Amino acid sequence: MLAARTSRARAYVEALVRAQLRPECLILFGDERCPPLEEAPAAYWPRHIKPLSLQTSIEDWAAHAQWSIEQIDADNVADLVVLEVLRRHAGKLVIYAGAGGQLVPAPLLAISPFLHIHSGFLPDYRGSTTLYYSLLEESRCACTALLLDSSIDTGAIVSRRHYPAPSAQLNVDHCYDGAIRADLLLRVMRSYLRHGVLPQAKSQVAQGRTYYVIHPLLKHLALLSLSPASQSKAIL
Amino acid sequence: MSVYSKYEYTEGDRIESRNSYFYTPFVGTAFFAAWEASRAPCGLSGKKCLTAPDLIELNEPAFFEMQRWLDAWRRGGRLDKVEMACFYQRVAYFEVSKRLFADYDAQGKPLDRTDYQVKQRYLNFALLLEAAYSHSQDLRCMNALLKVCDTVVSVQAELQQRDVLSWLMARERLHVQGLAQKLGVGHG
Repeated sequence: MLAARTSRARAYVEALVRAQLRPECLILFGDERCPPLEEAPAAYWPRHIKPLSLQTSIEDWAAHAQWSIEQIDADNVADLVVLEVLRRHAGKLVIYAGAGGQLVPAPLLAISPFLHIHSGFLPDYRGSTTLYYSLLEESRCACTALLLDSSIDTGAIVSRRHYPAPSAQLNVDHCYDGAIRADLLLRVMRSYLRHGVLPQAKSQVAQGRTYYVIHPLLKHLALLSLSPASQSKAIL
Repeated sequence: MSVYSKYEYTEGDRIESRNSYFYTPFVGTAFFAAWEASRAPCGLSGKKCLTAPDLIELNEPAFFEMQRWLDAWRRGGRLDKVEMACFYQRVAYFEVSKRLFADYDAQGKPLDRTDYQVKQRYLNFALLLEAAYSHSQDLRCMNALLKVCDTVVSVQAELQQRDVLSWLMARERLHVQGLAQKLGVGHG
């Protein structure tokens, strides 16, 4: 697993540890980008989405679960040291939890397939902050597990799943977004362990749409359109 | 939710000092009052403006393609696949760079990366995006419209086309209200 210190990576690690799954090695880079978060009560979470506490750091989870961890001095996935370390650990699959806005360079992608979880239903919602556009247009969210290629969100699709809109009380950027990605990651990894291979990845052939970082006004409309937990429209 | 009064996205010259919209904080309904206040210098009167203004004439290829697309949408027509792809290529480049240029190559890259300061070009692009959103309700157009309006408002003191500015701000507000109503959001 190759991860930057983000709330998304924290969600992945917590979910994997709780599910008693472990990568051969966790390669960790970047400064801490996960802000302090209050643990959301279970009642705030939609049904069938396992609540995550997100209170424990990646390092502490990894130590608790006795994962093999290598921390490297790199701010960007494109830094040369990441390539050197990944070559040394070359495995069958890399679970990737990078920092937003960073593209995985081709030399890294040539080492092993990179499994990435995108919070948008591909190819309809490529690009950035697609969770919010999905909320605005469809009142629901989605994730897609794909194998990265050199372009943005165009790689072969392993799995896709829709998720309900979060309740108004849940932090979307640092809590719900990571949680639904972690949910799909667990589903894909359980299938991988059961069958020894990933589900057949399908190339994206449809045109698709690319979205860009959402304007704060649209973000506010999306968040204010959410229902409080007691009135949650959670149906799965 | 704390009081939010400073809408930072129109502060200073946002053509030179470009906005970043990554991880913007959520501040609740107070955001909308701050956003509306940011548009006030453009003379938003709240009155209905019935006549869509023409683009400001500029002698450059970007103007002529914008004029072609605007004419198509305002006549209620459509762009063909190639023109639509070109339009969204311009939107994409603006979204990434927050700048607009006089001419672009076949791959959508500007021919002269230093020529981005023409302020009327940003006003024209806003008029074009407004027409595109009115025609399609495509949120990609709305998103870019809000961003280019931030840029336009940041340099509004240097724009003489006050009637165009006022019309544009009224239309932007109308679209926001329409979207809020559709989502069941009351923002005051």
